[in-house]
Amino acid sequence: MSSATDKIDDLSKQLEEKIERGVINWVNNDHFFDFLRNTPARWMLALIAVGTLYGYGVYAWITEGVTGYIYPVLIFGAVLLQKLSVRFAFDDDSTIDEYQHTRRNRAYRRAYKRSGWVLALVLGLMLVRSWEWTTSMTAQNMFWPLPNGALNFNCSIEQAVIGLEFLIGHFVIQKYLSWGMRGERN
Amino acid sequence: MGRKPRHEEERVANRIELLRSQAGLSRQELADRVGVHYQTIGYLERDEYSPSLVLALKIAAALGHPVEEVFNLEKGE
Repeated sequence: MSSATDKIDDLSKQLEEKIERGVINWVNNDHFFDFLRNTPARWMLALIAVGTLYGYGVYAWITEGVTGYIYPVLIFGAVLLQKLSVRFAFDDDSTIDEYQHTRRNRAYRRAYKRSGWVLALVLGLMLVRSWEWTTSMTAQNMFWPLPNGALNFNCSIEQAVIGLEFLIGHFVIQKYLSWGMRGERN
Repeated sequence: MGRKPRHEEERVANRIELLRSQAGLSRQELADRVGVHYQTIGYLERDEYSPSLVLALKIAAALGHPVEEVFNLEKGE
């Protein structure tokens, strides 16, 4: 009985892999998607990704009542367009050739460096915020409080969710932005 | 003994486009023979990418020429 179940499991896995490979091969090789792969398209997709991630992120952060549901959907859309544009180079090793390998590895290196800069910027902003809080406390109370490591960002639950979504989106999208703007030519 | 400026670095030039058209092959056909994407052949022909030794040997074999006839090292300016 269990061997029959195992067999069905194996067959369904094989079918799933076959369908997945078929879809990836179709997307990678069909000229229908070429409009997403030239240089102007790369610029447009980068603008969409940056606009979505940072633009909508800031809007959602500062606008009261904006919930965090739309933001991840928009980020997912931007990432999907990027995936189509780079022929799933970051998803499956077996479908990419050595040029795509080289370009993908360079994109990872750039993304890693860029993320380091962003992290430094965020830490810097946190320090400024902490310093502002400390000086305002000093002005109010006429004493200099001992730093206790606690930071107060006064953010709501919605803002915290949006902040988390931003961080995840930021790290996911970096590699696609680092892929570069040079598109394919025929 | 630092690294040379980019414009002085040697680069790998090639005659893939010429030899491919002489052989009557399209980019797609050559790409299929050597197992890369047709866009990669375009990058190679435009000297936008230097291939690995394995790929260079495969391309030379697919074009039916010795590798040194297909690829050569070009000095920088």
